[in-house]
Amino acid sequence: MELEFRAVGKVFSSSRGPVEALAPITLEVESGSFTTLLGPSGCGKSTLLRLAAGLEEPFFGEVWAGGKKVVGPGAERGLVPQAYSLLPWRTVEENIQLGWEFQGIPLSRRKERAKEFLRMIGLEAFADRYPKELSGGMKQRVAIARALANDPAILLMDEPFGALDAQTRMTMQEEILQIWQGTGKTILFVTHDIEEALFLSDRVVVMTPRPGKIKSIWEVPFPRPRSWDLRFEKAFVSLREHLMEEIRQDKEDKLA
Amino acid sequence: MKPPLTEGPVTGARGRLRRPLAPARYFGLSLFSFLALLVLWSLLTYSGWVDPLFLPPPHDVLADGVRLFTQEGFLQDVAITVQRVILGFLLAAAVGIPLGILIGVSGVADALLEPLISFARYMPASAFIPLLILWIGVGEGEKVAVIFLGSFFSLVLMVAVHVRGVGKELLETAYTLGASQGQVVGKIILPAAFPPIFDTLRIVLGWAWTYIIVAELVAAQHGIGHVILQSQRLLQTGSILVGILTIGLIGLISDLSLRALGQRLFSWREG
Ligand SMILES: Nc1ncnc2c1ncn2[C@@H]1O[C@H](COP(=O)(O)OP(=O)(O)O)[C@@H](O)[C@H]1O
Ligand SMILES: [Mg+2]
Repeated sequence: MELEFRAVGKVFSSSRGPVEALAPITLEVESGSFTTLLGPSGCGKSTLLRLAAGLEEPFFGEVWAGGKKVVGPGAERGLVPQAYSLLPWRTVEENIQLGWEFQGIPLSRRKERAKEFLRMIGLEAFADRYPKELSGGMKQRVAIARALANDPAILLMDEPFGALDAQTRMTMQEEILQIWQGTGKTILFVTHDIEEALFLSDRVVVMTPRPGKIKSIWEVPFPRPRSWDLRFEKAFVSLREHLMEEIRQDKEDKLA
Repeated sequence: MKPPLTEGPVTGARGRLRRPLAPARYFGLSLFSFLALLVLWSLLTYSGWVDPLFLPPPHDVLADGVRLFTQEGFLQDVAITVQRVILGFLLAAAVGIPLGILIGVSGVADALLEPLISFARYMPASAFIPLLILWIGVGEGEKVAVIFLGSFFSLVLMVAVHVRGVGKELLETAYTLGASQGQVVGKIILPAAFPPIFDTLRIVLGWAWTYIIVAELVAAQHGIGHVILQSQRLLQTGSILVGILTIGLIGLISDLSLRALGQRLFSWREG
């Protein structure tokens, strides 16, 4: 098992007292799989992802990754944050090289290997541009390349396409699938978009808020490689409706 | 500045706040404000409204300036003052920036030093001049010490604020890429906080000028402040003005060059 949440819960202390963000959650993520956390905002998706990244400490339970207990952030668990978080004073190429710099890889090797990743994300022509000159989709590509360049076993992605327009979003979804199939990474992906979750994942974990917990887990049977027209197939539409129902019910429970 | 695409009436004013002016227009307006000041000065003096003892007319001040620079070795005084300012400023920056960074990243350093420095900051540096003279005399050390005391404490606190202002998400990204704490400081915090620290240094340089003149007014054998004080004793109002204008001019030039340097260094900045 690549990633395991063993009865992991999180309580934040705030000025208004404790906030139970996550009730204890148990979840196993298989090596090489694509798993998505799906749910409305506030259900603890980001918190769960940050626990896996080691950026938050569990209040209960433990997180294990690659057979070791997670006690802090590490290069084997890469993160693609929602807000890109590119370093504005570095060019595209220098942003991609960041992880290698931390490892102490010499500049000549870094430059050579950066080309490979620039090609992968189709931004060779933008190698020397600064983040402020890029579109949202380009920035997101750079953030993904930067995380992948470090060759992490696990890639954690927090609503990476949330800020993109519908068209760019669809392109990015196909690209991330291609990259995933080419590299065999374990991906834990967060979204609140049902279609995105179904299109990408092997497994969809539906979460509900107050406190955040897992409501149900759905296997997604569609064969790979998948292409965009999968969205129009009967089985896809039907599964999407089931999931919608699942999430809608949840809202009605809250209102009742 | 673009002409409207359609002829005739238009609707909807564009937001004008914080819109940068074209360089030529900016320069023109700046020049205008200086000229307006000169015109006002001329009006007040040539009309005879103001006694030349209080405010001599521009051409008298110009003549005093020429005399000071050509016959009385004023350039020497300017050089000495500039040297003191640069020395005090560099010293304050060399100690203050690392200390501010330390306070910004370390809770222990923060607890140990920040309250102490906040306390020290409120003690006016000019009030220390008598004490400093008592301790180290009226030499160069005392001048540099006054500038240091005047700028150091606030500089440390402002640097700490800039360091704390570096986005948490940048630090987290670095950690998930395997950065050590030292690498986070060197490769994330320093470059991210550098532009605001640079802007702060520009402001601090201005303070250094204020403090050196005070120190030179109190006790000095050379320097712009010393010349100003001598001129006051001899009732040479024009020479006082020359001293003040010289400081203003040097300040303006150094500030503009630092600003231009900043714009070059930080062209990657958004917005
Ligand atoms: N640092 C924090 N301090 C206090 N409460 C927090 C903090 N981070 C998250 N929360 C709370 O935890 C809950 C889950 O948040 P989050 O994990 O961001 O949800 P999601 O990503 O699904 O929108 C929310 O109620 C949120 O307000
Ligand atoms: Mg979130």
